[in-house]
Amino acid sequence: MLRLIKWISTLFYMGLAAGGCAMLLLFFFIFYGAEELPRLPHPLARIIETPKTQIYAATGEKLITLGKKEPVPLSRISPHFINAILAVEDHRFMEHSGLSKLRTLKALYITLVQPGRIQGASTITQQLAKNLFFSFKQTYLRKFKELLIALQIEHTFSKAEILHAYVNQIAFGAGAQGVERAARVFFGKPAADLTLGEAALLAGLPQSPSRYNPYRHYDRALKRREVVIHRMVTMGYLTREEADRVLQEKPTLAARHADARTGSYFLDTLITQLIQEYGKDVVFHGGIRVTTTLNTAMQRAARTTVKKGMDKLDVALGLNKSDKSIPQVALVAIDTGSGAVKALMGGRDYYGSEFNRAISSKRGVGSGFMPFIYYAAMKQQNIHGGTVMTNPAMDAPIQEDQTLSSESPTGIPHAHGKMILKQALTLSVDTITDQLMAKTGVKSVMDIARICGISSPLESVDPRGMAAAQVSPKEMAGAYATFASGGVHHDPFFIWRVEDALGHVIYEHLVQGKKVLDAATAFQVVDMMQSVVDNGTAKRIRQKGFSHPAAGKTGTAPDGCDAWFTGFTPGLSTSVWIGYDTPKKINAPGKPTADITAIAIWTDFMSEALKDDPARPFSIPDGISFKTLEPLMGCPPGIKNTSTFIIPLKPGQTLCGDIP
Amino acid sequence: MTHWHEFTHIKIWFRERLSPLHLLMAIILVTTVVSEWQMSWCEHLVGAYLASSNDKRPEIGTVWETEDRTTTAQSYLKTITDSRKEATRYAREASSFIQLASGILPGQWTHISKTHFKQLYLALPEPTATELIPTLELVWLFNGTGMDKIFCEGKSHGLDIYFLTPDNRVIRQISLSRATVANLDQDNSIFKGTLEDIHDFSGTIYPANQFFKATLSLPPETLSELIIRPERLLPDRGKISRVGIWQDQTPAYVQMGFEVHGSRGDMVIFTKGRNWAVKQLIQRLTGSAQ
Repeated sequence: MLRLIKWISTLFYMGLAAGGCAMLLLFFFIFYGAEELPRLPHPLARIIETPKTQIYAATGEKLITLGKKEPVPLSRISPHFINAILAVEDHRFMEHSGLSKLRTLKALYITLVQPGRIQGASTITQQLAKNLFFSFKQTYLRKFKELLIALQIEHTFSKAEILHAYVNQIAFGAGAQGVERAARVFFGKPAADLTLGEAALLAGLPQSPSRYNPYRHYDRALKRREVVIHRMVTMGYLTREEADRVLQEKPTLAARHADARTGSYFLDTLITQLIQEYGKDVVFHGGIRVTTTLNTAMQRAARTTVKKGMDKLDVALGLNKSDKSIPQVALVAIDTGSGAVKALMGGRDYYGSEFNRAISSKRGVGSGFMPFIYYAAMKQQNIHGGTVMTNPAMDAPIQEDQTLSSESPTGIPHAHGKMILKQALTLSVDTITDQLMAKTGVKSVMDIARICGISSPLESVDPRGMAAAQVSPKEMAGAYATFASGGVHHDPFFIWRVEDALGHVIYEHLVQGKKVLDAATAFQVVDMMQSVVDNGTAKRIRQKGFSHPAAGKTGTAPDGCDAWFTGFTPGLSTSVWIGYDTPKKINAPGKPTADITAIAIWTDFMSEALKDDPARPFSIPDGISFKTLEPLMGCPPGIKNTSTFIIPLKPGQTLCGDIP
Repeated sequence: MTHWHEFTHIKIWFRERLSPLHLLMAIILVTTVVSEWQMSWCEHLVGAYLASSNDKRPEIGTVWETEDRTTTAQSYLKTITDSRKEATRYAREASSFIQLASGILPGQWTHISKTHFKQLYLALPEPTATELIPTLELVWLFNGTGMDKIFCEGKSHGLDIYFLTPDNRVIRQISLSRATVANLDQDNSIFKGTLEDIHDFSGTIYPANQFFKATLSLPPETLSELIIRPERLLPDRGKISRVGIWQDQTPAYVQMGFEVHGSRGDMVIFTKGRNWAVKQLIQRLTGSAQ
């Protein structure tokens, strides 16, 4: 007994001594370590005052706000939320002085006794301190510093001020910081209007925003809400009946916001460009106002038509949602008169894949490169759409009195062995393009592509044809726009204007075209490309009822992995690409499924985008005259001919030896 | 073995422990712990101490980094807007294209009003103005197009002036290169030296008497067109001794230099003459020379 008492006595004194030493050490740390603690801002609300950057469409709608924090007073927050967050995060908040001793002792016990398991015991004030000053790296020193700052916060500010700061800066996930933003992101309403069920769901998120993200793990978020509601019952904020009733409710999430990402390929591109120009600080903390080139109606049309087209393609290819490898798509629409990018889709679903194929993906454009080859040849050799070429792939001799009875797969009569250039482009005849290429030279064609805005490397291109050229849909839309605007090139751009928070303009875009092509020759190429749409490989556009004057060119990569259609009206140039990210054949065996889909998407998009615009023809340059001829021999039509081509000619150009 | 300081009986131990001193210490200890538990005075004390040293502590941590980023961003934006304001002020105060070009540095830009541009243009001597942009074209720009604003941008090579529609489409662009500005400057400046110092005048330098005699013999309609802005020669800078004619000129105008000997040394005052009128003058000069 005596021995036991001796032991207890020794232990007690040792404990007392250890406690004393610990206290001394603690005070040493506090007094000497305090110098390294961060300074507390005054007032605390200052932490929420970050200027927001706002990005607008050209049509005036706000597209996104960056760095946005929407502090609201406690009086404008649903009391359900306040009760819920207090119940689940820190039910003794109104009583403690920044530290919950019981919870801390319990956490300490668990941490020490059960190695590997760390029990959290942070009060709301400690969480606030952590969010304001510290990284999320868990260290004992950080916890200690966090505690000290929490004590200072408690000493300096009222409970209302602390709670106000906490609920306005805490992260809820999905890019929502602060309860007001969270309420708008998840439920599309202000924090004041949150119902009990919604408030409880939100209050459950801060513990692990990604784990409980209701957009991704709705059931998990509901489970967490149950915990919150039970805590509220325990704390007396709710009766059991109320809790049971609320648990039956399943809050409806707002549809627009899926997570913190922009949700838009266009915005991703724009923000990247802004960061390159002004730096991250300006973009996310500068409070600038950016007016973009985006036309929201066209963007909506792009999204809808891409989805519709690709869903149909999936069906045609026999794919279903469980397939890991699905074809992708890109669409870019550019104003031909300015270069403004009016709509952009970099893939079929941003949330499925953020990779922006409209800009970053360089794919084989196939015969989509023909207009550059034709232009180079026509300019260099002074030939035109009525120039007769021999198609070596068709060896039957031509009969002078042959009627145009034979039909090509596209429904256009063609000659056996000979055809005019316009017909060759209309039917996308590779052998004739190869001849033009050989006569013109790779360098000339590359030069034309370059001045039209193709900036992707072309050096390795097969001299027999440009079909191997790998370019992006943005480049294609921009380059074709050069033809649409009579040879004047505008660099594609995304930003009209940037202003600072006070409205001072810091950047504005000047629309300045560069005359790069001869207008008359460009018009001759456009005329041939119109034939592609009216009678050629893209005549489905007319079959689908699109009646605006339009020109374009289909394109399929030589390896069959990419399907393109790039076309334009006088005002809008749009390029559509379809293919797999990891190249593999895109068309169903024996069927040009993806080619047809590209044309269908283009047609649906242009029909919607231009539905309110009056149709206007391509402007005809001075000196152009028109002559009619039959497509076999490049001569004026004979009596028996029923099908003819109208060929625009430049001054001095003739048909069949006519005197100009 | 039992040490001297160890108790030998439990009663002794209790008696020692229940002594007034021990009891007092125990009461203090318990009171301290309980009062801290109940009133958290220790936390308040630490909080108060930290609050007292707050202003001496560094601005570190996430919230301050965010504020730093905001400050950096706003400071950067202010640099841009200040630079633009400065360019705007220079442009507004410019009374000549030289001042305009020298006031807007590379990377700076501003708008100038149509009225201001007209004033600057009209202040140019006629040949220089026409070289910059033909007057008729300017009339067309101002009256025959949808031109709404004029945008000036400083470039490394000089100054670019854009005539814009309301939606910022460039109708016409003028590039005021450094060489052009230097020429403008030459129009308004005086060269310190003699005509021999200017190589381009070599072989076409005439004594002032001979020059003026030939000039005054020209028909009145030619005389009135001969020298553009002759008033530039009127200020009393000294006596005109010789006149040089710069042969290699633009089709419309010929540069002329009047050498003056004055109290401030030798100088050449530049002006321009109409090509066709100067040709007639040269014929007379060479004829008289013969």
